[in-house]
Amino acid sequence: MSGPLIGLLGFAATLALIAVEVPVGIAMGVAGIAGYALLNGFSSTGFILGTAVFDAVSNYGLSVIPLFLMMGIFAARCGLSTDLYAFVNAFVGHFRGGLAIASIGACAGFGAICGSSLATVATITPVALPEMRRYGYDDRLAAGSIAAGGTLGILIPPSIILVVYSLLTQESLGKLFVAAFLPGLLGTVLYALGVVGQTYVDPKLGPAGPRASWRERGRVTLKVWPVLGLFGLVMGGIYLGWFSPTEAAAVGAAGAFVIALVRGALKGGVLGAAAQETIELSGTLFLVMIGAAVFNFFIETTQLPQVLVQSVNSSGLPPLTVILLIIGCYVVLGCFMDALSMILLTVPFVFPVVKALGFDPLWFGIVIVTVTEIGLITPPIGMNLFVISGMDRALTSGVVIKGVIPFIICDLIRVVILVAFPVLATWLPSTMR
Amino acid sequence: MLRITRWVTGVAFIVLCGMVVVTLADIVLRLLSRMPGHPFARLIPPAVPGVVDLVQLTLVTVAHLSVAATFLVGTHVTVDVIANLMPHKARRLARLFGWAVSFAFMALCFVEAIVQGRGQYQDGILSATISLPMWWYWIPVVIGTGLAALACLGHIAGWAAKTDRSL
Repeated sequence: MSGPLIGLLGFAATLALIAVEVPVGIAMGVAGIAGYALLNGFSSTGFILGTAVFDAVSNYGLSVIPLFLMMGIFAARCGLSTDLYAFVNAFVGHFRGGLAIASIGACAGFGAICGSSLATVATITPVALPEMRRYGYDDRLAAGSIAAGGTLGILIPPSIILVVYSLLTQESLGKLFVAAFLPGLLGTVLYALGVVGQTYVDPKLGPAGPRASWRERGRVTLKVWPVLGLFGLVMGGIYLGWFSPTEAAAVGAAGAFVIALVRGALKGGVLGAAAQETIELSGTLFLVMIGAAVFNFFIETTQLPQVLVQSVNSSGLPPLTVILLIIGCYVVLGCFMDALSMILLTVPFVFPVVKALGFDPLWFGIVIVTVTEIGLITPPIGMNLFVISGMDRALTSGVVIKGVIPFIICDLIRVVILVAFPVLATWLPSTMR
Repeated sequence: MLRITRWVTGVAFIVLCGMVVVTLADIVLRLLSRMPGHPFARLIPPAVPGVVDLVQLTLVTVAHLSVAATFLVGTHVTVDVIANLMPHKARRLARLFGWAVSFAFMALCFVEAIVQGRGQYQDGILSATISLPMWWYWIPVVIGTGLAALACLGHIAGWAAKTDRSL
């Protein structure tokens, strides 16, 4: 059997193991080590295992993962979600569909601190859903706006998925974070336009709420500024070259901890629960990274990426067609896999092809993360859909899926815009110091 | 198992806080040393010595203890689309298979971590900037992978005794 064929079989074996609920990291690790043993003999696998287990989690740049998770979890514990929702609601709640736009805005703001889509949905749902129901919003629009808004968390920096992409491709993490800023903003605006469009067609979906007074607006702005200031310091610090991403993450984690402490949010068992959540979430990500490191060792020895590059080059397909095919594959794969696993499993194959075709690696990273966002709201395993219907028993999956369809269309429009205008992702990093 | 989990997460979180403190101290020292006309500018080092080595040591510790914690608690990234379609018995068997495969993988990692850590100790290899013995970095790897393997065994035992709720 040839190396590339063994590589493809290893990929299939990983998917098969994942399908029977073997943890994703373990599935990648086991398939990787078995494939490597098949190619090079069992005696050399020990070294690979030891090296991968160490190397996969000892890279200095990886320290941003637990630090940004800590920042997001402590920010969530100090009531940020409620404050953010109240802040956006005070300014747009009196428009038709305004509460749904407020939910999307709160998701975008929370994603800017948190970096995890599921955590964003889980935090915003209990705040926004009852409020939208109170004002007679249709469940489809209410659930759809939160599920879609939650996906913004994995693109708007700091994004854990971008950290992983950066490590896999050796692209600058600071530049990737900055590159994600405008596409994240575009996503937020498109979702808001999606709400406006839906309520224009059917006003009953989202009736206008009461208008907040300027005094009220001032009050909620005062409440939210420490956390928005923290985000400004973290991202502004990276953009202006004050901090490396690791330093910015440490500043963010310490800042979120201090804000939670000052607000008195760490009383009782909250500190312990936040610590446990930080460590458990970090552990799930690190296990996938260890498994992926073993799998990537194996894939490199199969020469599969090189064969793929040669095949694409000799196929005569225009580069844009290849990119569209890759995006299509990611959309389909996103229906069945979570974003992190998908990136770790596929980028080692796909990235050499994209680079050989001359596309900007920063732009490609943003496009791929945008596409994986779609996977979070597409059935059958759109994780955000499960989180919302799991948190509110009155919401059936069918209602949530119907509600999210207009937002999937917004996402597809965003992908088309990003492919047509790569400058949206490449301009801001080019202005960095 | 709950008490061990609390200890592991507690230690990992304290080490994570150590990572924050070291990184912040490095930023503060850098800012102070660049301040023009600062009276103590010559006395203050421009950075924490070996900050990258120290962050890496804390990172390896946090990573491996947190991986062990996820095995102890049983929270992993899994995909249950097909498993949801299985009959209850088949799903229980699939979970057992998952824990058995996890045990095999983590046990192999544990053995290799011991082998490589011992090799680093015998060769006297030191870290790049402040010459920390590299075998220190392997201690959390050995503890983390060992605990993870033991946790898998615990879940398998729970499966046999039908006491493990995750199965």
